[in-house]
Amino acid sequence: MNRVRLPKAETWEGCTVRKILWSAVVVATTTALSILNPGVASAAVPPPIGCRYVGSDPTINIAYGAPLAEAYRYAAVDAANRWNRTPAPGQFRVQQTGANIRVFSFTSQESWWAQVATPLISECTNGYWPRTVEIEFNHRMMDGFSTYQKSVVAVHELGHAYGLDHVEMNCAGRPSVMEQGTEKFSCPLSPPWNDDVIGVQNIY
Amino acid sequence: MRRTTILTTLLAASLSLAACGDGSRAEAPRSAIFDGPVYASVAELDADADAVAIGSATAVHGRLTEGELYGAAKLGGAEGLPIALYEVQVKNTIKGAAARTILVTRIDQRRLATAEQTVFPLHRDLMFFLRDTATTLDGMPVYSVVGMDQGWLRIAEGRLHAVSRTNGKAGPGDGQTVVAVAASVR
Repeated sequence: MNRVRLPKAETWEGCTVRKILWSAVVVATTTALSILNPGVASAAVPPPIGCRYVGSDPTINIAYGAPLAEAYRYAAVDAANRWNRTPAPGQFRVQQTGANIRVFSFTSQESWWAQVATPLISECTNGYWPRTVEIEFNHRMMDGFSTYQKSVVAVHELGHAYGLDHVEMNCAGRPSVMEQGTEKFSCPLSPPWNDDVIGVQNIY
Repeated sequence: MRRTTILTTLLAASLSLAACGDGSRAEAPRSAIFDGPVYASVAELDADADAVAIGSATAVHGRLTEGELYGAAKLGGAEGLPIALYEVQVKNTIKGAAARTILVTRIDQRRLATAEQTVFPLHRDLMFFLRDTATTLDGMPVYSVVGMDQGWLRIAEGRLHAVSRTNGKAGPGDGQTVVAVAASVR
């Protein structure tokens, strides 16, 4: 049986230097893009959705639900590590107890890739998630995706859990992982992009 | 004492019945945010559709979970999404072999609210791009809509009006005539 080796969710201390380096790369890339393509670098900072986690630098526990196929478990952990390597406040941690997020995968006949099922936004007490947020992946629509595409969708869903809403973007300008659809799969570099990080910083 | 026991028993029974309900999620209503395909054209919708039809939704036939409708085993043991099944009277089949009366699924907004999907208006002419789920319920074939809200459009005075608005743009087919879109469907 082929087993997928899961990446370990990194600690904040372990990736602080990488976060600083990442920030420098993002600033340099954004500056270069705006010089090379003036006029296309319109901002795509995702707006807040109305619910978020408590604190300015929250530790957000991700637990595995059942059913959850290995490919989507990998995508969720990879997405957590991708966010953890950015300067965005907070830290995702895989931990089965005290779950803030629980991840599932199943086959749905409806036309969606992944969803974040949350308490009703109107239930958010003072703007904070009152209960565990569920992330669900749809096998029927996503099993044909590459490993990278699955991770991009998972980064998008963790963005919602952070508190980000959808946004329009343009790969040639300033990409964001929070746009719906396939365009984000082919943007330069990889998500989360600078505007996604700014979106999280605006919330926390 | 005896009356207290009877009242307690009745209360316990009513509470357990309330908890069972219709077999759906017992928890409070939730909301959902979806990511999925964004269709750029009618041709793309058509490519993913088993049937394209004009008809009208006449009633909600039932409310189930996907696990109850398709069988939990087909979902890998999951309960799936809560769905509402709409009876649709088909007036004109443009593509495929949709029966006169079909069931079309929608996410049940009473149990899972989402901005990505709108409930069907009843007794209005609509165009549907449908996926055959290979399931029947009460003798009627069950279809799902291609692309959430992108795969159904309102019809008024011979023109289509998209319900969906994704990434700031109206969905495919918006403003086109029914005749032109029907002619473009394979």
